[in-house]
Amino acid sequence: MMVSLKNIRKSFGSQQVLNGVDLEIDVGEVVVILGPSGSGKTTLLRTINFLDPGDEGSVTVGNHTVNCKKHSRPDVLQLRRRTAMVFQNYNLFANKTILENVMEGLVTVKRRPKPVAEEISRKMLTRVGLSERFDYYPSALSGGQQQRAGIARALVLEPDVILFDEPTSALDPELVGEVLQTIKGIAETGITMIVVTHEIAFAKEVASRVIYMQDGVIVEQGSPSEILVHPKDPRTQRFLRRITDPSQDPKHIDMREDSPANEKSVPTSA
Amino acid sequence: MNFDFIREALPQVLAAVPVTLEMAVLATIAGWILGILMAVARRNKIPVLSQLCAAFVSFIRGVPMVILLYVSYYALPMIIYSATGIDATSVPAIWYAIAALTLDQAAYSSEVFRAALNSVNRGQLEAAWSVGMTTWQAMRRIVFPQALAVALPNLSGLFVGIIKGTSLAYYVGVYEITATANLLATPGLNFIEAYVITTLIYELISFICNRLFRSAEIRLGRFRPKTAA
Repeated sequence: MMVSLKNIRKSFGSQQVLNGVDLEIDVGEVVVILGPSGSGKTTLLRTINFLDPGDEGSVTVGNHTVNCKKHSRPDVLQLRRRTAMVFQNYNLFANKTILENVMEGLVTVKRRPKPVAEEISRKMLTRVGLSERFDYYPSALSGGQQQRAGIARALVLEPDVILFDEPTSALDPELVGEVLQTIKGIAETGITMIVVTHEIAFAKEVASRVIYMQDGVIVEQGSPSEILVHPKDPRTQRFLRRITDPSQDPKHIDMREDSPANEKSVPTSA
Repeated sequence: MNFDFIREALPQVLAAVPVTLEMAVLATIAGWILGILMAVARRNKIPVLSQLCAAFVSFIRGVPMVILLYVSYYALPMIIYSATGIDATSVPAIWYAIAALTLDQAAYSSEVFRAALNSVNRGQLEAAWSVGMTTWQAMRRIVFPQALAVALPNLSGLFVGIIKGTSLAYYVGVYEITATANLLATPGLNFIEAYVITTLIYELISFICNRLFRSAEIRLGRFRPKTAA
């Protein structure tokens, strides 16, 4: 078992976001989490590396378990050093070049000597197709390039699991493909991944397991074809109908994510 | 215009420049360190400390610099005496001036630093955490360098302001540029000439400081998009 979540509960103020989530993920699994906005999928991802600590429950990555209720700082640090995250808004370090972004964790956290870190980082950036951009600052790159650098930054640490938080939601539509291709390439290397996304086609193609979440609980999970082609739960069915053809459902506006890219593509008929 | 006076007085006024710079530099170093600490306390909303800092900033900014100097010069020795029994009246006036200027710089710079820290989006801090960095590592390597680049134009203004502020130390008897010029002007009533000299010296110092800050700004802001420069 690579990742194990037990009875994760989390609320923001009076808003209960996670209502007791249990999840076990094996080595090498590619788990895609789907669900409407507000379903708690991003929060669930963020409880794994304690960017948003759960109120109750426990998180295990590898052989390291942390209790959400009483976690110490070294505990959390340990957990974070076994995971890596790719963010919706890339969150590259703006004061560092692409190469320095990728090197940062190797140098400050893994204490690799700089020349070694640099060599590994160059290889990783080449792998995600950024060999021409080593010395560029993030502000000089397109969203797709920034996100691929973000993926390289996560991958270079050789984490037990990589967490993807809607990695293509902020991208212009024509840049989504290059990032999904990169993620697909990584999935094929056998690293454990958890991906929160709205890209159904990607889930079908790459996921080894699909999870549908709503209202802070896992509604159903299974193989891509079980969930995406033959969903049993009416809530999953409704969600898939809305997301594949928004114009069919007058309530589609409730389903949108509040990211700039999606805002543009959603008709404002509501 | 008495050019003989100017020729004679100029070197003597120039000799007081180090006194002015000493006050400005020491007050700036101490004030900005305090300012950063207060900004961090307020940004992280540390209970009690955060409110105290806000009150301090509001209080200091509401007091004229001259009054702050007088309070520092006359009241501080009394406070020190009643608290510790140490007679602080023999401490040179310049140190009281530096103390007052430090408080002033701390209050104003903390607002500059607070705004600058807020300008670095939280996402980068989270990204640093996500790769396993500690909060201190993230602040030192990611957040502070960016905040400093944002703060520099305002810090430049604060520094030039404090150089001019040191002229008020004249009122507690520190012989910096203004006091020296006044002293030399009095016997022959050459005040116009004396003020021409001080104006030129302050202008020159300000010009050099602005240049230095500007080049630091360009160096530290290399990462920013070219259009925003």
